[in-house]
Amino acid sequence: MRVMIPAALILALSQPAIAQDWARFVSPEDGFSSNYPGQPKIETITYTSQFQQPLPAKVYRAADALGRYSTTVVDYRNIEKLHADRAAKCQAAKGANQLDGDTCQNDFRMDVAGATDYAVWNLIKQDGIKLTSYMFYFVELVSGRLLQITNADKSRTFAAVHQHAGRLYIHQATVPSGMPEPILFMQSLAWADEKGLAIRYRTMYTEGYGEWKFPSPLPPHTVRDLTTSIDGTVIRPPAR
Amino acid sequence: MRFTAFGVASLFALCLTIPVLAHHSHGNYDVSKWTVMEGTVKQVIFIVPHSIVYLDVKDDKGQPATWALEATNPQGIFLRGVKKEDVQVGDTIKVRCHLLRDGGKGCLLGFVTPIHGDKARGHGVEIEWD
Repeated sequence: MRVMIPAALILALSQPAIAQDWARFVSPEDGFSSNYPGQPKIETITYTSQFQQPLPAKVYRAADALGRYSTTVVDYRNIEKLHADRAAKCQAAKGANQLDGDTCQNDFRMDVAGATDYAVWNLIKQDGIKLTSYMFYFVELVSGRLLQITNADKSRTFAAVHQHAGRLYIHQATVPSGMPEPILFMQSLAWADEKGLAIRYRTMYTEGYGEWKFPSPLPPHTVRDLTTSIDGTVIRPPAR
Repeated sequence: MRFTAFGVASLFALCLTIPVLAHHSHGNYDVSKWTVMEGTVKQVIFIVPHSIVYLDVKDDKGQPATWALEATNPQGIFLRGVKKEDVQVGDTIKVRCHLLRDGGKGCLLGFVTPIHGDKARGHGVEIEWD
C-alpha cells in the first residue's frame, strides 16, 4: 500500500515560483518516505549486485523545473539464498576448474556489506565528473554516504546511499547548472514502517551490525600466525 | 511533590545538555561558521521534514543567483512565533546560515530577519528557523 498525503496538509506559503506541488510520498512496502514534486512514477527494474546477483528493485522518479529526482530501492532480502544456491550449484559441478579453492565461495556477506560501496562506485566512475563532496552521512541515524558531484555539463548531482532493513536506497537528484542545490529533495528522505510511520533510531544503525558502540567489543575471532591457514589448523611452508 | 518537581527539572536540564542528533547529518555544511546573506525571497515551501527558502542573492559582482536555504519543519518554525505571512515572495530578508562545504549554493539555517519594513510581519526581528 502506498500513501499519498494530501497536498493540503503541506503548508505552502507563497505563490509557486520555481518549485511546484511538492508533497510527501510514503511507501510502507518499500520502507521509505520522501518529498517529490507530485506523485512519483514507479519503474520496476532488475538491479545487478556487485557479485552479479539479479535483484528486484524499483525506481521512484519525478521532475520539475529545477531538476530530476529519483529514489532507487533495491531488495537484498533474498540475496543469502541466491548466493547459497549459486555456491551449491558450483560445488555440485565440482567447481569451474578444480584448481581454485575460491571458485565456489559464497559471497553473500561481501555482497551485502559492500552494497553501499558498489552503489557509490557506480555513481562516481563516470567520465568527466568532479566529486566535490563525499562523506559519511545519516538519516534518522541510519548510516550511509552522501555525494555531491559536478557533472561534465556543469549540472549538479547530489546522492545519498543507505542500507536499511535489507534494502539499498539510492536517493539522488540532478539540477542543471545555475539552479539552486536540490536540498529540498535530498533532505526529505525518511524510513517508514509497515504502517507508513517514520522510524527513528536511538543509536547509529549500520546494516549487518547491532547497536553502534565505540569502542565496540571485538566480534568473535581467532588469533593466528599468518603462516597458518585462516582457521589456524594448517601450517603452510615458509615462503621462499 | 518537591522531589518530583526537582526530578522533572533535573530531567529537563539533562535533556538540554545532551546533544540531540538531527533528522539527517549536517556533515556537508560548515557548521563552524555563520554566513550572513541578504536577498529577495523567491519561494518558501513549508514542508516536513525540512522547509526550504529559495532566496535570490547578488554576488560580489552583482550577479544574482538562487540559493536553497534549509530550515526545520513548519511546526518548529511556527512554534518560535513566525507567521506564514511574515516572509513572502518578493520580501527582502537577511539570513544567518551555514554554507555547503563544497561551495554549492545551499545553506543551513540559521536565522531569518525580515527587512521588508512591515513591523506587523516581523520586520527587523531575527528568529531561528532551524
